[in-house]
Amino acid sequence: MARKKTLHSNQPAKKRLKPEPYYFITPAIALLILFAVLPILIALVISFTDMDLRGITDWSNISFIGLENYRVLLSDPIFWTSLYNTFFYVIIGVPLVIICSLGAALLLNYGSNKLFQFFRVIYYMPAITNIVAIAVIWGFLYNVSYGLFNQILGFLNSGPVLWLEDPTIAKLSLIILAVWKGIGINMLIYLAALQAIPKDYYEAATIDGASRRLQFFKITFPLLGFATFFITVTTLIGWLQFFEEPFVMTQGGPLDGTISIALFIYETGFSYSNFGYAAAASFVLFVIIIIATLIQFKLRKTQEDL
Amino acid sequence: MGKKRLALTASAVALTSIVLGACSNDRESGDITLDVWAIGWEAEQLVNEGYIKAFEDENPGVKVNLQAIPWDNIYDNLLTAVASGSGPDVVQLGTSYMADFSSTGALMPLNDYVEEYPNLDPSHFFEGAVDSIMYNDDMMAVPWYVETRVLYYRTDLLAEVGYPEGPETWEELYDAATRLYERGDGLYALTLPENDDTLPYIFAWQNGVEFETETKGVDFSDPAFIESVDYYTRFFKEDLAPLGLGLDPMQSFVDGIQPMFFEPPFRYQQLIDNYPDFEEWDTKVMPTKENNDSVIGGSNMAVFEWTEHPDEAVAFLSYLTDRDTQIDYFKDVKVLPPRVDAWDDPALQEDKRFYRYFDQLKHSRAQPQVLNWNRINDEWKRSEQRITRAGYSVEEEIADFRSRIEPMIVTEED
Repeated sequence: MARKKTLHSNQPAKKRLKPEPYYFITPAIALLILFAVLPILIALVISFTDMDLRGITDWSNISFIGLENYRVLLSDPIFWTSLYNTFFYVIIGVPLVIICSLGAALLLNYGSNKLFQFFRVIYYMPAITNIVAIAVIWGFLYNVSYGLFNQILGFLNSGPVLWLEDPTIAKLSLIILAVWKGIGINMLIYLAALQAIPKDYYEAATIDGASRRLQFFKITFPLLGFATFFITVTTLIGWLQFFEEPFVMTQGGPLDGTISIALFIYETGFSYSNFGYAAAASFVLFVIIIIATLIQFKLRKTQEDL
Repeated sequence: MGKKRLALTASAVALTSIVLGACSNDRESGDITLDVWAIGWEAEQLVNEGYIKAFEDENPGVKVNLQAIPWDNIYDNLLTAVASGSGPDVVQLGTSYMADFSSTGALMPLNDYVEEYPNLDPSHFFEGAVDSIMYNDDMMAVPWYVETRVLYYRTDLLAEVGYPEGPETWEELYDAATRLYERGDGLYALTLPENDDTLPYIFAWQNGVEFETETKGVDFSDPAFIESVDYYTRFFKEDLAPLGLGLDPMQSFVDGIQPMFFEPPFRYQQLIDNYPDFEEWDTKVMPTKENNDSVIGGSNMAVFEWTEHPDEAVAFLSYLTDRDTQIDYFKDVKVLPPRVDAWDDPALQEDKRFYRYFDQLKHSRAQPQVLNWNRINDEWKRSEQRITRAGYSVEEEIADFRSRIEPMIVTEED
């Protein structure tokens, strides 16, 4: 009782930090530091060394080489190719995923009967299917001689497309696959956001004589702003780390046409055991992702300020 | 039948081990668990076909805990094991990993055990297989099974173009290929895998190229290498071996679309199993230029240096490389035994087409046992694609390839 009283009367004592909230967030912070911050720091340290297979068994074989890895990285044509490819994936893939998932969400928002529910499942299915299984099936679809896509094209009297054999077409083929796989989750987020928009807005707009088109651009799209922001950020990060599709479908080929930064890191690190070099590359990717995300937040802020 | 045979093998092993006094004393006392990492389907058969049990029966007190790891994951698992300095006692290694892992010092040299376990004696095995187990004159593993490539060809179609016995030499192969190609639209001569990490080296060896240098490095400067790459890539450039059509090699072989290919032994079994009535094919040793060398691949068994039961681990290797075990394992799993004397068994000589592998194995060699070979290999695949797909000239691309791999070559002088 007395203590409570002093707290009330004594202003400076009120500013004292209460420890209780920190007890609650300590486990989360500890896990975050252990599994997110620490590995990044370790990767940073490794990126300044020449650690390789002989280095991990005997630490005396590791030597500190400063910025050498970064210097080699910047003059490595394969790294630049992988950088170019990754931006190619991002610039085409990200808008495509957003547009397609928004489109799917809008269509599925029309109704809620069994058919619409069925289609929700259909769109979501690729997101939960194992990538290796997907790769096998799409490998058959893309097969030049026996594949379904070329069979259909043949039926339409147009020549066979070498889906995975030309560097540029192979990139696009992988984007198609990844968009198909990526729609599901984003569509669900959009669908939830769409259903959170109060119906009154549309009723009022209809009474005022606004067309459906106008309703979409003046009501729906602005109110989906946060969902769009969230999806853009997560999708962008996901596509900057584009890995599974080229890894299982093309192994980065043909002519390095599909190698992404993440695949480049995997190869140098785990196929060639060149850990220092891979750490340097992964740090470059880390910085790119941070910058891309900061730009997003900046844009979001200016948008809100308007 | 199978059980009887196993029992026989088991008793044979028991007998040898008793005669040789191979059992150490602590085996009778407490229970020892031997952890084994083996790879893929072949490894699972060690359990399924009762080999593990037979070994345990003959070595009371020893329990074998075999984990079959898929080929895709084994390299990562090995890395983790080596990095952490802990892992199984016995491990299966692909022949192409040997140099890298031997260099880490994580494998236990087996030289001192040969006397006690004569099954490990390198003189039992094909020369090419022995190349892959030696590192700096130390024996780091024992060959467990091997594979190599031979030429498969369609007897009927090759007879039509004048080679009823199949092509003998490089010239004949090329000549046969162009004639087969002339049969018409949509028909080709042979399947050559693009991105292959062995065939281009095979052709180079056949042309007399030696990659390995005295100092454990590699050297691609021999002009004969350019010549062999020129020869190899010509099949792609002239469309004799189609590129990027995604044809199934076996189906198009049976359909006669691509009537030749160079294949490891699993293809023999596939053809027999899937097309039992299809008889118009035969095998042949590789076509000759200066020699007809092929590559020897397969798997070795090694012991990690941190094992607490080296004697039991080596006894297990000895059991696996015993002649009778090897013959039985061939009968069950159809992989090629690396022991030369196992090939005397009638089971291996039953089919002439299969027995060709024996002739080829005598003329087979291991891939260069140099550090970073996987990486050099990948750079080579990159160059190969540039030559076959992007029209780079062979000479320039090889020069570029050599400049790219230069920093990766680790020699003894370093």
